[in-house]
Amino acid sequence: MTPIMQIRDLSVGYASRRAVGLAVTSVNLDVEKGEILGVVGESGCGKTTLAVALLGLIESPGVIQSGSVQLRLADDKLVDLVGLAPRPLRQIRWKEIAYIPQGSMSALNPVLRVRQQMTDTLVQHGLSKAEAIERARWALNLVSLDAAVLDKYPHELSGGMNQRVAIATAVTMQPAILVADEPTTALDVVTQRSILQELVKIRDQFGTTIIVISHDMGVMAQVVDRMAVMYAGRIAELGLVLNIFDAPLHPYTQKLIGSIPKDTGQHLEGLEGEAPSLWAYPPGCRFHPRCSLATAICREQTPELREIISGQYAACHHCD
Amino acid sequence: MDSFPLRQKRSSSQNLSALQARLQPYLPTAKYILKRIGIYFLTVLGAVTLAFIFFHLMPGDPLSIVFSQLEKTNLGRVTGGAEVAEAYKRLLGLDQPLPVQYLLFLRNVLIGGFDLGPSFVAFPTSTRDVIFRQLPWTIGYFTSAMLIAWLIGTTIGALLGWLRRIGLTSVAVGIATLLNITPVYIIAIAAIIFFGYHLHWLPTGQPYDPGLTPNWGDIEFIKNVLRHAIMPIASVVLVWGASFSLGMRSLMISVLGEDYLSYAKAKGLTPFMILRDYAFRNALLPQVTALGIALGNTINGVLILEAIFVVPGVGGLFVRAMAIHDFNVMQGVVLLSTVAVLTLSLIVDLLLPFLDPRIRRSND
Amino acid sequence: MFTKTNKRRNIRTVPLFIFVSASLLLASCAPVAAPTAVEKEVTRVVKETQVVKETQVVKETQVVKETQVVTQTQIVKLVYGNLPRNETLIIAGTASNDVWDTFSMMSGPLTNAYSGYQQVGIEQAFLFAGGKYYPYLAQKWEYNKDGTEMTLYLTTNATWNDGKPVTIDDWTFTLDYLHANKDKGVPFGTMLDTTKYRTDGTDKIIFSFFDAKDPKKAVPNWRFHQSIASFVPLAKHVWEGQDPLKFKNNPPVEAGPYKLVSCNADTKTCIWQRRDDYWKKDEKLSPKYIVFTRQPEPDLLTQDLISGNFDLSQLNAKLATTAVMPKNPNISMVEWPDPCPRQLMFNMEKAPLNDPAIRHAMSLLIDRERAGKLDNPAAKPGVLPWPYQGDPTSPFVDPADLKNYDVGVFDPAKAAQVLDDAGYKLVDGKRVDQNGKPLSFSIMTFDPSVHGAAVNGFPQMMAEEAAKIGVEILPKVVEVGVFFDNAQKGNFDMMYQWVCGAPQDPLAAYSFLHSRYYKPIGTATGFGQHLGYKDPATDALIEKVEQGNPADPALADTYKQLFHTVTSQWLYVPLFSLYQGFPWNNEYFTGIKNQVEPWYWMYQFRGMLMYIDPTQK
Ligand SMILES: Nc1ncnc2c1ncn2[C@@H]1O[C@H](COP(=O)(O)OP(=O)(O)O)[C@@H](O)[C@H]1O
Ligand code: SF4
Ligand SMILES: [Mg+2]
Repeated sequence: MTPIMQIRDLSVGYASRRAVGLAVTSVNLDVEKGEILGVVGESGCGKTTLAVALLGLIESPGVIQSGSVQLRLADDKLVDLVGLAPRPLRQIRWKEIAYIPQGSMSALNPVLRVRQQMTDTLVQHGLSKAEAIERARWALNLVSLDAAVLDKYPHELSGGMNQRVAIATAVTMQPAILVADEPTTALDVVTQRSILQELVKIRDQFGTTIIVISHDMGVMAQVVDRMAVMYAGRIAELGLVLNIFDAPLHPYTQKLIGSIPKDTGQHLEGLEGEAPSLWAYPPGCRFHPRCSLATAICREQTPELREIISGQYAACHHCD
Repeated sequence: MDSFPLRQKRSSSQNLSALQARLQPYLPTAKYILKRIGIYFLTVLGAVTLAFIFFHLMPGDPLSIVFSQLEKTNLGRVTGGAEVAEAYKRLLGLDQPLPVQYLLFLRNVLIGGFDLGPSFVAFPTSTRDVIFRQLPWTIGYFTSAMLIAWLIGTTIGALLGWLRRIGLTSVAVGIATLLNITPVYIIAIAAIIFFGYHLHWLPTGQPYDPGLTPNWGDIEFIKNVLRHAIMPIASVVLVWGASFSLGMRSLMISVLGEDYLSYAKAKGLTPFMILRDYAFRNALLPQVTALGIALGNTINGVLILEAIFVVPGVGGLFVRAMAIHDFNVMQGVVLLSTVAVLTLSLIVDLLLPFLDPRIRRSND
Repeated sequence: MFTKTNKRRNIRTVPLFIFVSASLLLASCAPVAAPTAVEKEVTRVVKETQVVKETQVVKETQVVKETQVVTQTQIVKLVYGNLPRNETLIIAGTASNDVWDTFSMMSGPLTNAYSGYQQVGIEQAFLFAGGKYYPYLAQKWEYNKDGTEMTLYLTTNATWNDGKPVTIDDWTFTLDYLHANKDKGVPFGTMLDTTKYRTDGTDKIIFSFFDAKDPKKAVPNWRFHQSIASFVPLAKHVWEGQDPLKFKNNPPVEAGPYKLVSCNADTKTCIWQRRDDYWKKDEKLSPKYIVFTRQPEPDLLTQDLISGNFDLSQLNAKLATTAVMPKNPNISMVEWPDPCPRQLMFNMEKAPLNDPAIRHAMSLLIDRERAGKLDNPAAKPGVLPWPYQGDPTSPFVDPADLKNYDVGVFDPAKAAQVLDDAGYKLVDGKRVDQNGKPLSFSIMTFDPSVHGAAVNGFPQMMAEEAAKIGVEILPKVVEVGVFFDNAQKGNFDMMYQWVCGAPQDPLAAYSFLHSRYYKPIGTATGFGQHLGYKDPATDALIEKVEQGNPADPALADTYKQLFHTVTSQWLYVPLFSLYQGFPWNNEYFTGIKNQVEPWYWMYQFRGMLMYIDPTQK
């Protein structure tokens, strides 16, 4: 299978007056066509930065330090989203790669009706007004929303409805890839589940590749095929979700899974300490201050992401 | 919402309930509007009362001040200052006890259509006529100048905000900041000295050439008035335009940091569409409020400019009224500007729900 | 948001600011575009006057070199539409009221004093200028022997500016009309309450004076001519049946030398034209047109004066001499002494201000010279309560009093001595009264924008001097309204005042000390004195002057006694006499003299008009 997106050595940072702090460091990742890929990690570990970089939306003070994001178009041509000129980038956006933003409540313009916000992109991409509205109705229907929503303002809708609008907006152009950043955060459990089901439905119907970003392992467990665990800007572990939950390789993944509340009511094995700030990463393995297995090598050498078991990768000196 | 009378008839008529369903979305707006108007009238009443109290608690009997000063300078014009002062007190109704004066004042102002009695600056012309004679000038010069300043300032500010990362805009921002902190009278005086006295391009003052007889049907006369208006209007536009543009720029910048802006970008919209539908529209809302406030303050703001350009207007009238302690005119001007501020903020309040849908719901 | 470029942006704006402000400055200093004119030097005799020096007559000739700007074609500039500049006198002033369509003096102080109406439109019975009465609508007056009657001889050839003659009917109509409207506060409205008039078929009006309470009792009124001098008769055919407060008299029908051309409320400009049919043929009226207009703010007014746009204006003396005169050689100052010299008044009911020694000491602490100069270098230390400071020939003053009572003297050492002698001892650096209470007084003044910087300057200086000898003086600056309020209630220790006494008849400098005006502290009165002073002997002197004939040399003695009373007890003490002055443009009209009456004071303007000649023909 050929990956639809190839991320190579991607480093994205934020510039301060003095230096650039890398929120995403040397990330290598292949996204397979039609899969649902999860990116998971504690808050602040660079998930949103990664997502934004995939859309070519990094803006000052953000800077792409290195790397490439190769997107395979329908005609098998590869384009590098990094460094693409604004005009072709605009065309690729939404048509090839659409985005469901974190916190759709604030991502929708409060003073415009849903109708305008859903259709302006379509008109921009060459549809007629009527076609655009037709498409919007269809998309709303897809996410189980009434077409009356079109005449509403965002503040007149509930959080779940707003999220559905965002999803519907994202599928209007039937993009090849959908990046959903924390699609369920701030929603109640029932709504969370139905939103996730909408995503699965979209993948199943249209074969859309979906990248789901969340800090919530529970979300991963529910919908994701493969997942990448991020820690402090780097990928710590990558593999099929079932395998990872079964046998997490990386000590960080183990702790993450350990901290999921279980119905058995056993004592939670929480994560101690804090994730490092992007201005002061520890040398060597960035996890070593919090890692119980850390040794001298961990403090000196950065572990590479290696295939430990077939299809399961981890970046750790001591997980063989 | 439920107390709206339409509700009771619901069961009796199918039609009505349909009508009500259609009206339903507007009910919050209607309630909001009624509430605003109610508050408006209460504040106007309060302002009228405050104006009365303020001017009647000012120390010194205005008439005896004028007359005794005059008697002292022994000009031979006033014989028996005390008696004359009494005569005028009766004429101006100042001989009544304060509560009676207050009630009369309320009646005359609110019911009598802004009747504040005879003026003192232009005795015996009524205060209302004196003020309304000056008002068109004030509006003509400064309200229009303010509107121009707002339009230009908002446009420039929006562009400066949008292009904030381009180094060259910092020059424009520097100039705007400089203009904004410069008192308008310095600009005005510099402009008059430079364009008026040195270059002889524009008249140095007066609303029109003093040799002319006003004739608003004559195009030449109107041209003359416009020529004279260039400098007063330009100095307001310069200073207030700078202030509006800085305000708009920072509004823009804060809007540009909003999530919906990067979302709009992610959607692949062109920069122009983002500027128009997302950034500008959203930044415009507080800017409209700023215009309302600035317009309401016109009367206070123009005082010095009217003096510098020697043009008629309410500001100069107020100064003259102060000089001879003309209660009635001072009250009138203060009232008028208060009512102007209140009315404009009412208009802005009533307009905002149409510009910003959030207001229709919130604020009950 | 905090990018690296941010810092650079901040630095860049600094030179930018400097650049912009520097270029603005440079631009405003740019040389004036010179009009096409040739400068040539002309020598001409400017002054040739006969001056009486001691006993012989010498001819004084002064030759002055002047640079004249002569434009090649010598086209006369047109101003205010079509008025030739060289025939137009342009006067810029301020008006505190807004009356531009009504020409009447019926509303007292509410009349617009800057429209030109009172200056050149009206005609009075007499013009009082430089201490002399000039005949206008009346020729002369005569009192009977006991001063109970005065005969006024009217001018017979005067005409209204609508061509009709001014007759005795107009006079009697006016007298009755004003009396009938006295409750509306019109001028001269109450005159007939104590005065009867009669006519005898000739051009005379005979006024007789009676007691207000007893109409049968004749009383002398030797000052009647002073008030009738400013009487302005109304044209009967215009005013008959009109309400004096509502009638606009527009265009004004008056007997004065100029007729209204236009008066515009927007531009605050009134244009007057000399009457071809003016009845007083020997009157010098050089300007064909006189324009009264509104002056701009001082900064811009200086520009106007430099450009020669106005011939006379109310720019203060300091700005005129420093900013205008160096740039326009045509400008000179026209000055006059303060008609109302400033005085310091005491609340003599409050201990220890009731002690003359304290008041004496206070007077010695005033540096009048320095304080007066805060406003105008020409200000003089006050010596008299009326103008013509230091006139040694005044028949109403005994020079010995001036010397004995340190009138106008600044001598802090002597002040300390006076206090020592009166028993106000120094205790721990503070001077105390007999009860051990430290001496502390306030001086009430008001906002300097009304009367100039010296108003608040002198209490400050006094406070400094007083501190050196252990006395506390607290300058107290209040709003004008509060000032009058406190003055009327006696709510002050010392206060700034001004007294307008006529040098020929300085009664007004004393009359307010009469006990009939006395009011105890705290009782508010509209008019009168609140100084806490009551003395039957002074009352008697005042009454004697009031009933006497000021022209009678015998009365001078009584005046001297009054002067003695005030100076020897320091009832109030003179501060300074401000010389006031305004810039005059000699380019088109010249010959202006410093004078006694200020130009802008309404009809007094006519006194100035008598001097000026046109410069070009
Ligand atoms: N605009 C920005 N400027 C500076 N630092 C930023 C900015 N946005 C995010 N960061 C930093 O980058 C790191 C990664 O942030 P983010 O990608 O939002 O993480 P996540 O989505 O995993 O919570 C965090 O430490 C955050 O503080
Ligand atoms: S490399 Fe060392 S420190 Fe890092 S996760 Fe593995 S064991 Fe822990
Ligand atoms: Mg995030």
